[in-house]
Amino acid sequence: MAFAPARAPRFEPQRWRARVCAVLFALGWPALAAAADGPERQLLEAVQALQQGDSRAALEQLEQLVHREPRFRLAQLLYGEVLAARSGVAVADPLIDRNDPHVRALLQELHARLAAAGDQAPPPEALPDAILRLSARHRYAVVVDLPHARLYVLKNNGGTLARAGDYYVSLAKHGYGKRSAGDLRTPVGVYRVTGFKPGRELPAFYGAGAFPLNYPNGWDRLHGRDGDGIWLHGVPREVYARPPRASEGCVVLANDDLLALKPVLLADDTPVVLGDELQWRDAATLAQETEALERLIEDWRASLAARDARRYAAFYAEDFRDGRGLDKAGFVAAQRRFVDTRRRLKVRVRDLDLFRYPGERGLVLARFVEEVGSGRRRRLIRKEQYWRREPDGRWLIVCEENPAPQPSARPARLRTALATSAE
Amino acid sequence: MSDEGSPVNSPLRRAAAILLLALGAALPAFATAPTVQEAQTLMSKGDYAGALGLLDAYLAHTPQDAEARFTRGLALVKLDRIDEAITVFSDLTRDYPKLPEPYNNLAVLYAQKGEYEKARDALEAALATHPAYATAHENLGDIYAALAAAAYNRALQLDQDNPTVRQKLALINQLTNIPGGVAATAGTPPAPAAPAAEAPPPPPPVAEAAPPSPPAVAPPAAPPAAVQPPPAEAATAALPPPAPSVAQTAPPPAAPEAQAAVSAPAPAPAVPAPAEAVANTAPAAGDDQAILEVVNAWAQAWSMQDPKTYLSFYADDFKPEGGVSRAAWEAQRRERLTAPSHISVTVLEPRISHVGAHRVDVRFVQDYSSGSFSDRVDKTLELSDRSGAWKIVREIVH
Repeated sequence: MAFAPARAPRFEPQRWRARVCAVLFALGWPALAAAADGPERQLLEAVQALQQGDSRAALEQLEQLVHREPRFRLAQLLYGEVLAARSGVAVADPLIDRNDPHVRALLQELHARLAAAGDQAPPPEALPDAILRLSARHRYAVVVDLPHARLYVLKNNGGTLARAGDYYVSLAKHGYGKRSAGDLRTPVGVYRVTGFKPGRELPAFYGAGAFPLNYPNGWDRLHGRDGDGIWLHGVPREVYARPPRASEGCVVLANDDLLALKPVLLADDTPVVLGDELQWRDAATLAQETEALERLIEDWRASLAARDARRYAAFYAEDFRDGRGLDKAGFVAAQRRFVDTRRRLKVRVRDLDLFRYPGERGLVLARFVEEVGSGRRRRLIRKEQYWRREPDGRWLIVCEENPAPQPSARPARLRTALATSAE
Repeated sequence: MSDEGSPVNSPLRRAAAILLLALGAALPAFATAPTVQEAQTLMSKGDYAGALGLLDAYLAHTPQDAEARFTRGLALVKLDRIDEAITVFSDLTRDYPKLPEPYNNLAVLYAQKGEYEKARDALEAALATHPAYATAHENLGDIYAALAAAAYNRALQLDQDNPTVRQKLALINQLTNIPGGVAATAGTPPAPAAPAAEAPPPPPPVAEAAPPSPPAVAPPAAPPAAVQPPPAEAATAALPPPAPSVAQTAPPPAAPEAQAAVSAPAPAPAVPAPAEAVANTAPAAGDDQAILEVVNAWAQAWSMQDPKTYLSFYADDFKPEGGVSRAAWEAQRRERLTAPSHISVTVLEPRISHVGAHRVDVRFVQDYSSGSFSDRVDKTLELSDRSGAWKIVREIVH
């Protein structure tokens, strides 16, 4: 018997990969904002293939994925499922024990990742309503959708925002809405990072590094919220990601994702919004709301420039408190003393940011630099005003702070020019 | 796969070696050269070195004789020169890509080294040309199962060296059963045989073309790894096939707690409760203190990683959630209790509601941690008074 060396068709993994791509292309699978070739994207493609009934293609994707990220446990679980199904042999399926905390955590992670890419994904052009205006001095903003365990990066093109990537995150064990130290909750509010601690200087638990947040901020302190050490940080080497509810308050990202965010978070004073009830709106809808608030700030500014004490005082709520605990009467009196000492008063509002404050009903945070005077006598005062919408529809200031320039992630250009409070 | 601990692999390797012996039988009908026949006879007598010498001399002037090369590969395996054998079979697949057997043997050798993915590719190559090649199908199923078990272990952070990991036992049983068991019905889960019966490699199955193939009938050569007797759990490892449906797991899983109805009150429990808390108390329906003691003792048995005591808190008619069989559930609990290096379970804020004369619901916050993992859930244990002892009849996570 002779054996002719024949060119028999060999098994070609690439062929299957091409098929998955073809399937996805034909379906118009929504452009996922996650890194185009990231592990999560590959996981989603495998799930997509499974939903098409193409377990062969799913297997190809998952195999590549577990080679690339062996510590991506969710990928390992799905890989095991597909392999077990294909084996035709009885392999004990860990999914049968839904009471097992490890299984449950993995399923929660799967749910979060699928939801963020599927029916709960915000429309591609939509923006989170937490940011109503972002001054051009910020190059980026970061918004965390806490209920959906998702972090969104927004790029600021001269005041016009556009989405620029999103990432799975883990939050605290007990969810969000932090009130006190040790309550195992992630804060809700508007924050900024105060620096970067590289992983090599931290316990292995924090992975690639950490960006501390300025929790508690002025609003938190006003409401007696305490605790500290709220960071955005990475994961230990043994895992690729952690379950959706895992930390003691921090926001946790995969190490690669954390490092990808470094230029974003260390850019000029990038706001980090931790939002509990984000709505996604198109830019035009948001702009209408923004214009009304801009007019409000302008009226406030005009009352100050005109030294119209009555009109100025009318912007402040009866239960107003300033950052140091002054009530309305005391605060207005202090402002008047300050204002009255200057003969010519020129007031400008620069670099205005407006946030719909998360976790509160009808509250807007206005952050800006108040420029008083002109020429050599000019003073720059950083302001944070919390405006509350009253039942009659008016907006009143309930809290105002002149925050000391905080240690910025990077030396802010503005900082050297800033005088502290002029009062 | 190289990060796998060898305790996991060595039984698999042994199983793979057994398969290989069997596969000698699968050699297709060649016009066998006399020298090759002679070498095969030597091998059947255990003289592998002698056979190898004959074959080397023969191949020096007839380098393309496929059967001689194949037989040489088998001899190298017997001499434990695995890497050389891999080269031999690998070259055969290159020169005769339509022959399935070299692919198959290559796969078995890769599996022996724990390189399951290479093994799988080789088997799939064999099946590409011979889709009905039953042995390759069976081996492929086993390879997938081995890969699946390894993936599950990595997914669930199970200790790779833990000998009680049930998936592995189930797998080992099935792998070792293959040679003697199912021959042509690929895809049928073989019924796991009694683990005690597995010591000597069973006679090889006669796969496709079955020439008188001496190497196959040479079982006495000791498999590389020592045969370790399966632990007691091996009996419970004989699980019903869970029929894992991947498509169902893909969409966001809903909480499986919807199913209602606890099964009818069962007769008196036969199992004596070893836990003090259970044995010593004779709780009446209103005895909340006794009920709390039972729940705390249950949590403590879990924390102590004592599956026997832990399981004794469950009534005989306890129904696991999700339609799992009691045996499968017990096996899984046993494993989950013993796998982590430490476990701590605390019952917080328990609230007892009496739903009948002999029936209470205890709802509480369960604080669980093991190693670096921890979580908190709301849980309800339904307990029933069984001859003076409170037993868990249902366990629900909210």
